[in-house]
Amino acid sequence: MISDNIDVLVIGSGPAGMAAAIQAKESGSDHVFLVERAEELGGLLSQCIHNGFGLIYFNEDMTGPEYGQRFVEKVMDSKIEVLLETMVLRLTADRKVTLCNRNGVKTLSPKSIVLAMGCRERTRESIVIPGYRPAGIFTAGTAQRWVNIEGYLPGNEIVILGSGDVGMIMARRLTLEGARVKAVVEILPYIGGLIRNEVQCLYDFKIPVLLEHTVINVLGIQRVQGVTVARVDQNRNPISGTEKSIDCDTLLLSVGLIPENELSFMAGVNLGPITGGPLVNERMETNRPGIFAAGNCVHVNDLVDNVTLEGEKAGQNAAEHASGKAAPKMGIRLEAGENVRYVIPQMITGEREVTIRLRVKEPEKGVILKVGDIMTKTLKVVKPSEMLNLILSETHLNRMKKGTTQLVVSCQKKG
Amino acid sequence: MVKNLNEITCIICPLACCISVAVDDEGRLIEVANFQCKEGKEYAVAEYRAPMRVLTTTVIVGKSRHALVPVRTNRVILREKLFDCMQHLARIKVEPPLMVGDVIVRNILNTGSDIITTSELLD
Repeated sequence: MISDNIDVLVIGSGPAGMAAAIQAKESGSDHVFLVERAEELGGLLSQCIHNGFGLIYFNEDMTGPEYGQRFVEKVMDSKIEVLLETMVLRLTADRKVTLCNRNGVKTLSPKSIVLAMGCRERTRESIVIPGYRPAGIFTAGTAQRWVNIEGYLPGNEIVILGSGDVGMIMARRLTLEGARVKAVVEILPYIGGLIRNEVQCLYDFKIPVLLEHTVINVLGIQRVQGVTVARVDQNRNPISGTEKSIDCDTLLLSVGLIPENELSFMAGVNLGPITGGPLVNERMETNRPGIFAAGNCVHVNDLVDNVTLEGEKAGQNAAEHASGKAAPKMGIRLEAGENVRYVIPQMITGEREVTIRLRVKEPEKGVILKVGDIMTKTLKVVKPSEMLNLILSETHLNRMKKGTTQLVVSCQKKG
Repeated sequence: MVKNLNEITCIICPLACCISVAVDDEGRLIEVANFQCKEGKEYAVAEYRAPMRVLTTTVIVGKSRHALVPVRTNRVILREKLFDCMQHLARIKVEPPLMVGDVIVRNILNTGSDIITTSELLD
């Protein structure tokens, strides 16, 4: 029987959701609910069987399932109410949550909510690749589930479009399982994911990489028989005369991730145009009081460790809100300036230490990172694929002139 | 003495230095260049001499509602042994119950590394 005296309800039990629920409980909330639509806790971690997780948070090199297991055990030990195979159908601005599972439909009114729905993959439709619609076109994440959980190989001769981390990891995985990866095709002039994946997933297996190329046609009627690729110009348009065909039976897409925010939208949560996720303040709270958000539904992270840290922050503040503690005023807006794609959080108090995260637009060497005129930091290199963490200490914040309402974060080339 | 140049992309930090490791014909180290830190220099030499990797893969499961269980080597192995280990593991089948860290293959192909499970498998 679900009681309706809930302090914190967390939607989604991936790394962000589990961390939020555990932290809410540890911060003193008695009734914490963790809602998950799948049969098991952990979100996508179970299919991410590669290592590289936990280097920051646990100072260990772990696989996804191992990283997840640590949190699943904590959830189980901490008397959090877990609702599996439960879908959230509706969320309102005044925090009414409508759930559906095999016991029926029920509407609850928790004091705080944490949105932790994660993200989903962009598909062929979202990037509009022309050509036939044969079998054999998958997102990299779907292929990952097939290979690592279900035990199927999606094909034998593979072309991967996009060089994000999931795409590169699948290039290695499929190669190890006996498939032939004939090319990784990337529209940008540089690889989209982390350097360790570029080396250990592509170079290690001598997988051909076509930079500044894209797929302009899919061949085959019943099953993929090949793709046509072409070089692109500076505006990312295919250059006529550079087309060539690659025979393959499978096309995998690793062309970006989109934060999943249908529920946030329903509740009138303001979403950022760049991140596609809720705009949050330093408490990970949205414009709707008592609705917090964390992890990949806020912005797509490159490391799970940061997702966990965001989840913990959201969980702690959700517990504080549930206990009736007054929220501090968020008087300072953080704005993305030169060569900065976005900054998280968007609003801070300006009165206490805060960690901000940002992503640059373009790779650059020898840069000065500036936060208004209160902090500068020189960096040898910045890349869009590597999120930057900055701590604004009280010493920095004390440098703000009285009446400051905005700090521009910029990343300028030195000299 | 002939100088053989090898370029190693460093993965220690986002700088991704392209470090050159020069050796003579007998494989003796002559010079390491284009690195920016001590860790990078050490990484490049180690990576040139013997690249080591963690293998993560899956093993087939019988008598279970799951098809596979994820596994990894419990320490790094030579990169050149990755495919041999895959071949060896393709013939292995396990059954529940398994806990995280259970040893599936001890000292696989004399690499000095065990194959252990990375997920529990209860049913």
